[in-house]
Amino acid sequence: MKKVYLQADNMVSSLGLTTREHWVNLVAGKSGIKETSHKRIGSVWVSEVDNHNLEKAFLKYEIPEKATRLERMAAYSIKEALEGSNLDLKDPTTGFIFSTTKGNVDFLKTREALNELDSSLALHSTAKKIWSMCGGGNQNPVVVCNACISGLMAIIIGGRLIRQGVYDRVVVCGADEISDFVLTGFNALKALGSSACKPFDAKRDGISLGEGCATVVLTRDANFEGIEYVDGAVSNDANHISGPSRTASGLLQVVEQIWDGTEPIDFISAHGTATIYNDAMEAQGFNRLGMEDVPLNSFKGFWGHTLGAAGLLETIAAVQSMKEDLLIKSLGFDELEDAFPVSVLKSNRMTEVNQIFKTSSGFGGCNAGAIFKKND
Amino acid sequence: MTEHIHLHSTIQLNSRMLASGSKVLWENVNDKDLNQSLKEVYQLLDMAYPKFYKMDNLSKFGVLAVEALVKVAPELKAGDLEKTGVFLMNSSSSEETDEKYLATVNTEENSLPSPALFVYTLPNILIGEICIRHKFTGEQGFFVSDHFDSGFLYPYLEHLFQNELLEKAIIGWVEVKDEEPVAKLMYVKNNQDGGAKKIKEEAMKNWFQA
Repeated sequence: MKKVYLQADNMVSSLGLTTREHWVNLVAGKSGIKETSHKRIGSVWVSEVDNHNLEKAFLKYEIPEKATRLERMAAYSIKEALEGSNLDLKDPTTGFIFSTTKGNVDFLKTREALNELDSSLALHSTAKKIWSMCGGGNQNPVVVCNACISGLMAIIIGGRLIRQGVYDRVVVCGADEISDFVLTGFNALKALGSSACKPFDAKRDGISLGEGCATVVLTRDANFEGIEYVDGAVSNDANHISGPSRTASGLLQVVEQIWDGTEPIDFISAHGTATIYNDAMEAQGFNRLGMEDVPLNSFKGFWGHTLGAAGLLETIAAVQSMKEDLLIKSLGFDELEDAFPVSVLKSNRMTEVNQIFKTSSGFGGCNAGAIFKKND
Repeated sequence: MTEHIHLHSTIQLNSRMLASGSKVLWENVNDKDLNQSLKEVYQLLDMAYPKFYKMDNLSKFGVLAVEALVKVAPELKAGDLEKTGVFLMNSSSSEETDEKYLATVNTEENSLPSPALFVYTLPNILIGEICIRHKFTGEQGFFVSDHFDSGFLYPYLEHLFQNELLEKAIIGWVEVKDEEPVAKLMYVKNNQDGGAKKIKEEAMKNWFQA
């Protein structure tokens, strides 16, 4: 099987506009989730990307103005990830995968404003526009719209397309914004937490919505053999459209498919939304898999749940932990629930990290998991 | 390289008819409206599945079409359901339901937007509904494209079949935003059992574009 490596990456969230900035803030235990007031909902805890810093970054990378904030953010993220690489995005051996749940949905009630920006609600148009803003060619983008596993699924698809010989390298980008649409929806579902989210904590009571964008460039070029994408899988637990399986069957199926237990997993970057049901499902799953002693965190205590960008942002942070041999604590976690013990990180830990596991789960019963390893 | 993708059967559902291959299974007589038509097809398929009435149009269309496909190809219900995948595409994602949900947000001050509608503002909920109904638990994906992107899906499926991650898959185009809502599905598998025949990308593309 062809080897697939991680060539470059970028992270955009409340914690910064580069992977480096994120890492500094992760090590320092800084959260970007803040309390704000929403005209319909009232007090709400969210993680927002700073517009002032974004504008400066757009100027520096000459991101065209005639586009939506989401499109500009994604174009910036791709350009920043590829900075100094001389990669020609018109090269037909380079593919583009874009993950998002809602794209430009904030313009649903103001379509005229969207027309003026030559943008569209159609997600494939959004992806094509982002690609062309970055100098991309005629490659048809693959747009993954699969709820909260979209970002991780996009990486898995990229790895598979390279292994199948469709592309030599794939630019994988994911983005979602905080919109009234999504915020009122999660509020209606009573899924928003009463404070900054507390993944895996016994007192957790819901998510903090976040926005962000992230890019990973996958390649089969052995010059980049530092970190390898090993394998990934997707499943459906066929249980309920808005709640996870009570037996964690979807997660178990994914792990059984990609991990035979021979090479140890040193760290799990869990989905950890801080809803009662998701975290309980994951804890049960890891426990039943005999992974209860593997150090685990959720990065959502740092930048909230960034939906279509989540799997990408969290994968990059987890890979950075492996590169630095430094595991990051699960921010917001204090006390474990009794039912299914797992090893949630209460403080940062210096340790050798050679192989990691990233999971995501989402509405519609979907689960995804992927393994990455270090090549020393 | 030998292709692994074999076509077993197809389903087409729109407001005028339900058909499998050249066989017409239902026709809309007397110009019934969409709701009446869907109900008639639901009864024809003998579903008795009350959850159906709670679904949005995208899910109703897709779930009915898959129900018909399973009737045409009962072997979909047998075997290893972990190795049965579902891959769907359309051009508008969940836009029809997005608009309906937004209308509930924009009403008077103290009314709560509809949580039931909000859940359907993700197009992959349709895949969830199909999986719940038939207990398929394999690989899946919802993709948004302005055409049926066989250039991506064909080699992607090939990869999943070659590496034995899947044995069977339902692939399709389900779009309800257009003037003419449509669900077009193919049941494909990694072998020729049950009369399945090898299909090349060109033929797959042509069928979906016809």
